[in-house]
Amino acid sequence: MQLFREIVVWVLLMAGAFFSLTAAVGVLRFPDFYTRLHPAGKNDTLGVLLFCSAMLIECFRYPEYGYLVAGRLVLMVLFMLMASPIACHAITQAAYVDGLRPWKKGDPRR
Amino acid sequence: MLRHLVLFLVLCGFWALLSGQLDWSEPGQRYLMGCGVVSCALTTLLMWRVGFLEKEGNFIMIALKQPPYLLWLLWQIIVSNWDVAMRVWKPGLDIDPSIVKAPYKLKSELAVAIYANSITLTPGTVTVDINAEKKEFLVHQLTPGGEGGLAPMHDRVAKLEGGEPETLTPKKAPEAGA
Repeated sequence: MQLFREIVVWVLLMAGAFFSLTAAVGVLRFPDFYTRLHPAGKNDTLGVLLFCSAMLIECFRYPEYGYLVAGRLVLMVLFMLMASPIACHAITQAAYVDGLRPWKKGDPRR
Repeated sequence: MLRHLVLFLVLCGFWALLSGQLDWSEPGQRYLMGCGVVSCALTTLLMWRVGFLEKEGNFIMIALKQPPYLLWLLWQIIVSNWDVAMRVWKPGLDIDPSIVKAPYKLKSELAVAIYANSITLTPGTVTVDINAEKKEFLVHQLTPGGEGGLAPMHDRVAKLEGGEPETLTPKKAPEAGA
């Protein structure tokens, strides 16, 4: 049981690390502002979500106070799910209102 | 009235969760719990004065119907993340971004916010702009065809709100940008 739990935690942590790394690489590789927001807004959220679920499972090792930490982690995930797309939308809209043209296929990188 | 009572109880629960001091027999913890109740009451009073809660739709119902929607959204997030991640790692940029208009027929502002957030989180799309008069979003997508996932999502948010689900077809924006 112990081994099984540790395997699950490690898989979740590694998956979270993978998606966070993907977000960073995506921000570097994609051609313009709008496309860069896709990995930044999405993969980051899933990365944090996976990290938090790994920590959530670890919480059950501490029955005295683990439930409090678990509740806070759940709240953290909920706030991340709300805040990350709002921030993403806010900067996208600012760029759009400012008149930044979206990149089209075939355009040079900027 | 009921809404403010719910808000007060939720705030109290939030305080209890964050402080974790719930032992009534200890004076220090009793003091903290008292502080919590007072600040929750103050916040509720301020919200009453602002009159913000009356303007929202039936947010208690929306909150109660959240969990199944969240689970579905979670699955969508994983699927779309995998898609974006594959495009990030693929050699040679395999993207063809465009901007589409996505109309919506949601009544409450809360539902509109949930829909806009869900669009940003899921199928290769990011909400760029909201036109409240024409009732449509401008949505930036990485690959053509991403808008196909929006109509089912709209139906689900409409159901959250308690309205009739209605299938809407996004149309191509003529020329996006300044």
